[in-house]
Amino acid sequence: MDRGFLSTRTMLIMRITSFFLLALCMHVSATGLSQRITLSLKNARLTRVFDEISRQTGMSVVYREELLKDTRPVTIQVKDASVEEVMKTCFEGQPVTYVIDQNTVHIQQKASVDSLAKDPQTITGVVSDPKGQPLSGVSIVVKGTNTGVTTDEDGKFSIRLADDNVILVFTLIGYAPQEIRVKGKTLLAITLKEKPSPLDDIVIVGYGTRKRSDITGAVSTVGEKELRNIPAGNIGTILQGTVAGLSVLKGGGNSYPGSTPVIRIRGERSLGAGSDPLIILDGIPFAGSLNDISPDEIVSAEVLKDASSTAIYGARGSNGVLLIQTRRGRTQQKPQVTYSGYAGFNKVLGQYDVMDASQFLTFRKWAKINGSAAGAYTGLDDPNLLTSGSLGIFSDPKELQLYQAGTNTNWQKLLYKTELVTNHQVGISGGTENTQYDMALGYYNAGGIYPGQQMTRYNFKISIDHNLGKFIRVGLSTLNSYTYFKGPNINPVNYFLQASPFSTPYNTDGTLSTYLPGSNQNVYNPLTDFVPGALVDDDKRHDNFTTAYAEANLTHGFKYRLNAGIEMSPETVGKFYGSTTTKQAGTQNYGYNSNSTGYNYTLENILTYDKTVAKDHVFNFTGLYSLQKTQSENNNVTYRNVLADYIQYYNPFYATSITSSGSYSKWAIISFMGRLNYKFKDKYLATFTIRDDGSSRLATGNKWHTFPSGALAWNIAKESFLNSSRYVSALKLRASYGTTANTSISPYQTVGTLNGVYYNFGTDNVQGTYPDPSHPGNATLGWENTSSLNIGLDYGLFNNRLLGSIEWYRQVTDDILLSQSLPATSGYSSIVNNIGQTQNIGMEFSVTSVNLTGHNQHSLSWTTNINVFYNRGRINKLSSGALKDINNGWFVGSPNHIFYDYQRVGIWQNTPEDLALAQKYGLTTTQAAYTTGANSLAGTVKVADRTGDGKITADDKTIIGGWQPKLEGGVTNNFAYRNFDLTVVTYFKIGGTLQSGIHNGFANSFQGVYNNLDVKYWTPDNHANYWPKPNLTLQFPTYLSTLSYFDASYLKIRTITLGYTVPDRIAKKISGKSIRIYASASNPFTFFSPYMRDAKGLDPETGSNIDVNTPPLWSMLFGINVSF
Amino acid sequence: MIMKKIFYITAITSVFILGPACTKELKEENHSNLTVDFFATAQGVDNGLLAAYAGLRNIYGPEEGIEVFTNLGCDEMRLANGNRTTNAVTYNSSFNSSNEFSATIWNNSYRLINTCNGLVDFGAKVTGISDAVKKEKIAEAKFLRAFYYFNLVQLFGGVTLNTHFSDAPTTAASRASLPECYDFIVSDLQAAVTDLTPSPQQNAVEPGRASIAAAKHLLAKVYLQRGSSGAAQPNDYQNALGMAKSLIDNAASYGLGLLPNFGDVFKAGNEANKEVLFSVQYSKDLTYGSSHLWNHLYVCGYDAFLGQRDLTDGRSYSWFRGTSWMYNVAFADKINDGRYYKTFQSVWYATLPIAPKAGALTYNVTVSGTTYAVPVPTVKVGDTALFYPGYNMTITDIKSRNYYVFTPENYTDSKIFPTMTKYLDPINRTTVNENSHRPITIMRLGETYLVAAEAAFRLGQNATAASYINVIRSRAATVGNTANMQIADTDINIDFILDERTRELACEQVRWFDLVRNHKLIERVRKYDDYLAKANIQDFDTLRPIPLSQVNAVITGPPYPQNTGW
Repeated sequence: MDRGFLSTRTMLIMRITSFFLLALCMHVSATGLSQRITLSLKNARLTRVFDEISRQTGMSVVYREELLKDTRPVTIQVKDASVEEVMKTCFEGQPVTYVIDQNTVHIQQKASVDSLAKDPQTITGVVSDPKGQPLSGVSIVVKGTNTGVTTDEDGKFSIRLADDNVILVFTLIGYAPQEIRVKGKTLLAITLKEKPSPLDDIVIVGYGTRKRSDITGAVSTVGEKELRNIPAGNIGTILQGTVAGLSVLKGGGNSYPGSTPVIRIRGERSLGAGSDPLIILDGIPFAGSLNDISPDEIVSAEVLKDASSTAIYGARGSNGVLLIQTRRGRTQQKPQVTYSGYAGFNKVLGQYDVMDASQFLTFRKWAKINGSAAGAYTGLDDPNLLTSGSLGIFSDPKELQLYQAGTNTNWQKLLYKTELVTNHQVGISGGTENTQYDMALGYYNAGGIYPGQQMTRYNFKISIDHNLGKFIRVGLSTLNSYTYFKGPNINPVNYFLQASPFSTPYNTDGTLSTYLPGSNQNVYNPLTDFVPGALVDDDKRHDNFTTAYAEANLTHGFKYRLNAGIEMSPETVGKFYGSTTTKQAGTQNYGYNSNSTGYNYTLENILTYDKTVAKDHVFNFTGLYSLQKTQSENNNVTYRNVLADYIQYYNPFYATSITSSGSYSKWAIISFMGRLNYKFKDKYLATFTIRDDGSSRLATGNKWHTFPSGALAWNIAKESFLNSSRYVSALKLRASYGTTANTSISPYQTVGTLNGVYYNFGTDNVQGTYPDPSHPGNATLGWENTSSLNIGLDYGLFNNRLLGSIEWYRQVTDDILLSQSLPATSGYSSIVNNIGQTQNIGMEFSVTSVNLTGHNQHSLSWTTNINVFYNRGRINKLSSGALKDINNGWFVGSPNHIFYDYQRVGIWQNTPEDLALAQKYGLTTTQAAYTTGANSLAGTVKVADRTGDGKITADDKTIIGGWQPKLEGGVTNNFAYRNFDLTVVTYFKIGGTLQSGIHNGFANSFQGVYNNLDVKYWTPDNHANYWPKPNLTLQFPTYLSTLSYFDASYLKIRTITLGYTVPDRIAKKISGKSIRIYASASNPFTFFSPYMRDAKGLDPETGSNIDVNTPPLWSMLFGINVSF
Repeated sequence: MIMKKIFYITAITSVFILGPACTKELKEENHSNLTVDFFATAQGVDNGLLAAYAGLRNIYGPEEGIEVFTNLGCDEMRLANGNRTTNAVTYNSSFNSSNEFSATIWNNSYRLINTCNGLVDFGAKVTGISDAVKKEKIAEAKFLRAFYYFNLVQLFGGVTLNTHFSDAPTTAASRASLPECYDFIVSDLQAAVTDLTPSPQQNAVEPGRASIAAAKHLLAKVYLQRGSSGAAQPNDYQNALGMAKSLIDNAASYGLGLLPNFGDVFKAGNEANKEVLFSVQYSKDLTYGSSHLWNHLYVCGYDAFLGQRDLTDGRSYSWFRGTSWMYNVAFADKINDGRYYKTFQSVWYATLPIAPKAGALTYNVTVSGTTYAVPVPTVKVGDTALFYPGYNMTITDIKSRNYYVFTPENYTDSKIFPTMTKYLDPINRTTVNENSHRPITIMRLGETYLVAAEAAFRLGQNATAASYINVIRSRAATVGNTANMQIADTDINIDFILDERTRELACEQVRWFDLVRNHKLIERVRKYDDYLAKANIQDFDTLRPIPLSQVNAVITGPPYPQNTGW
């Protein structure tokens, strides 16, 4: 972009902003006390009007509270009007009237409803909606009887009663039922209030709010009630399975306390830059960890999915946006104290199925026999096998002794423990007309399944909103947390799965051994990691997230807002690995400290303008100028040989081989944005956004880019032909198209940097530097752009008992920021470049169905929320026309994250056909060589010769699966009966492939040196056709990786929560407003998982693969929510 | 009213702060990484040279290092136990261009060559250091560049020849001819031979630094290798002999010389001895000194008999063992030639008592094709527990010994074979499974004699060849047997020279190059290997496959040519 244009435009924006600020100042200073009234109220209670009159004029308004019971809210916009004018406007069509007497206004009941006849035996009346329009077809029934009438076209009714000591029930679909005690009245004026429709919910969109029915983009909302249903440590976990298009899964299947899930909105677009969605917390980009926010503070989460919705966040919105709103105090709310807490336990979901002593014995015998020359043993019963020499299966005499003593150690049982989870949150919230506040204090503690693993979080927040005079509103909110993770890197899984069941963790004197007998002294005692102080792994993190705003209502519909937010997240990591732990395996102990600090701030100037032209044309304009900046610094030091273990990582002075390093990084994005919303008669809606972003991370000349987007929506239900439909209560068609961008690569990719390396010449220690092979400079780096088209249909059927949307989208991402592999001869290995293209096409379907309405609290209500979605990712183009990049696993025409490997066919069986095939492939010569000896082919994994060239070569590899599921979604069922409520959240995934690291590593090596997963391995007799024969001479069986891919489908009950709301009368006894107790089970059941069924996997849930990591958990929590 | 004022102040200042900051904020501000321009400073050249040396560790040390491509897949050594090297060392059908061993050497070499190119290019221009120092540093860079290229050329043939620093990488690449590559290597080494410090033993040259002595040795080898290659020049053998002779003749004045005892050349802690010309450095400092696992690769499964591993005898990886040709033919003479017992371990001492119940346990020993069950010995800590005599014994003799005995007939695949001891590290480590901190010798004067001998033989000067070989054989002789070790010029032929190289240089990362140079690889593998390589090796195996990652990443211009057969 041309520099000249930029600066001109910058100046222009500055001038406009200054002008409005100036105008604002003048306007405010001109305003003082006056006898005239200026009012702008929307759906306000009359009392609000009275207050304003009192405040602006000093007059008193006198009324009895009950008189106002049936009055409707008023909408009024006047400037410098008289009291008389205001009152006249407000009381039009109200069941009450007023008298102005000098400095006092008296409110009185209307004398009569003239048009209706008077008959003492007959009760007459009129029913109207809040706007005063008569309602026809309203059913009026005498409570407890079947006697009833309906209103006529004018909303009038007349009912004869023998006794007036009855209650009349007024009901109409779409309106809240009302009960009226007749006694003493003959004339009734009833106003039925509309049932709040979900379509009238206010949805927070970027830089503003919208009524759901006015939304033009693809936005999903999760409200407070849904959020409260799932007690969890972070918001990500709560959102799992609740929103179409939002995929939330455990990263690598890891389950240590504080492990955060991987969140993806509509798949992944980038191959090289990040794919995490942008999180906007209280209106400001949030860069911290999901663990920094206590879920108890969150009252809503919105997922912005299409370009029109995310365009407003331009530079950072291409991966979707997650808007999180925390609780604020409400106007005229009495102070309300709330407590919510739960306690329960985390338990490992199960044990990996490894062999026990007798299974392992047989397995080892086979490994030994298969790994030896033909005829070396007479069979499984050969006595030589049960020795510890070269002929025997025991690797040392000690292991043999333990075997003879009948040892059968279950290592997992020794290690896993059940750990407590507790959460407490106390809050107070309240507000007057002018000041609202919310404060909360929280504590969360979760233990892990290993001793020493823990996450503890303390958090507090304060938010204040205040009206400064009539036109300015300011607010400040600060969310603070301190989180202490212990042992996130403690992970001896490999060791305890490999440990021989014949060995024990203890020496004969009862002390812990360093390594375990058997397994060639290659398996270290996992219990050594849990000796207090032996393995210290601490991560202490603060997160201070403070946002402030000042908002000014200017004249003529203009509004200016200054938004500012700053986040500071200092983090300290300390590690100490004692000499006798699995980490150090007897070598010198190790210490590490890391201190990081930095800030991340956002400043935004927002100007909005609302204008209604000719009654039906509603315009809303938003203009924005923002600066986002992030700076982070880190220093770390690594050392060895700490003189005493208790020094841990606190004082490197007492250590040797001290080395240190540090880093600094800073980036900024500057943006200009304009958005225009237009609405015609609530029927036709349009949104146009244009955003101009400058990123520091890109090359000079390519820093700036413009991102336009537009969306149209048509509220079909408001058209006359559907207006009176009995079935369709809402129908809206939406379409949006636009571009968003991504620059989430590390800064400094435009310059080539050097790497450091250590070396020594004898005793002279030196450090060298050389050009970083993965970091040559790229002086042309530019934006990665995503253009997306979204078509959506929102529907509400049967008076919104079925409510939902269907979305279709196509996103094409160009100029992908990609780490491109370079030929090594270039001197470099890779460079970050703008190359290639990906696309994502997907559909999302969601519906909320009110299956049973639950007319009153004695009947059952049942709501089901279903979301189903798919995303089909595809790489369209790689650099310079290349069709594949095998090194990175990228293939044109396939999605990212595929598995490229040989195609498993089965096991080479001892049959003439297989022998002939093996000979054809040149893999074996004779029958004897095929079936006997350490290198025999029979019983090993057979892969396909896909090229058909009669050889197995690397060319036979093919794409045999990938992470991308065919379909995923969630179902949430809510039941309520009397005081009980039950919520069941289900998540499912159909299709996709996962790779199980457990099955592809030392716990499944088939060597017979280490304990193995208990799989049905091949023997000459059983003809097993999946798992190969064990073989002592092979570290891993050939093609082991082909055995580790599994269908990733499953259906999981994520949570079941049963709650009971204590009846008010009991609650009142402890002066509580409401009390709810509940029990909640997380991750209790998983069904239909081929990984669990075929491979005895514990949990198929993963956003990637199943790594050899902290095993999955389930938990049971008991909680209480009280408000006073 | 105070709040109002604060608000105005904030609002107004924000406008003034935000506006002008605009373009300034988008400028990148770097503090944590040195950028490429540092490389062109005096300090940068200095540091770059250290990094160019440090890169040797990426080739000499890791599992996927050069030892797999040079010591294995030849006549000397073979796979003992299946591991990640299996495909590469057995030439099986799964060994192909996607193999990690090709890529490790290839990728690291080109990274380091680019570093050396930077040193040579920028070194000439930097200011602030004296011309003498500058000349020396550039010569070191040229020595290393030639060394890295020489490995590549021997493994892959004519390769991409980068002669200048690149900071703007491309996705195009082509291969230079073999003569072009050799010309460049020779010219670099010719500069090194004059500009470096004379000797690793003089002027306080630190261990691991390049010297004229090392450059002469390397240049002699380059001439010898080229002389037998398709890029042969008429004077190559003459130059090889001249260069080797020049080093040998000047050795004493350089402070260099053969150690009297062959066993001391590879004694742990003695890596800076006067026979060593060039080495890759490691040390006990875990950060700077790093470690490598070559100490584990050749260790037999002795722990199955001793009951546990120990620091002296090493970690029983049991990946590689000698072929029976190596144990029994190349080292047939174990009486006059002391090198067998100084290269292979024959005795292990008990670290745990072995106390089987009387007659309860036996182990099997095969003698002349018959297998006998021999009672497991009863042994105290410190006693001899395991013995590999290296020759055949009668069953009566074996049974009379109160320790395990395994004769050559009993060398089975995975556990029973004598450990090759050149890289054992009993002194630098705290635990038996810890990696080694020993420097690795990659050029030594002992080989210079054999290079001279081979060049002389190629020139038809067998007497000269015999005289060089006799120096080595005299040093190798057991006490009183020097005369028996002498050979005559009539004994000289290429197979004798190759056999002698095995006896002297077994497992010193030269064997595959030696066999390829003399066009003996295919013949000798088929003849002497006793495992899978024998049947698998094919004619095109005299070159290694160009890494697939290289071929795949060349996407501009003509495709990158692969070696024949791959």
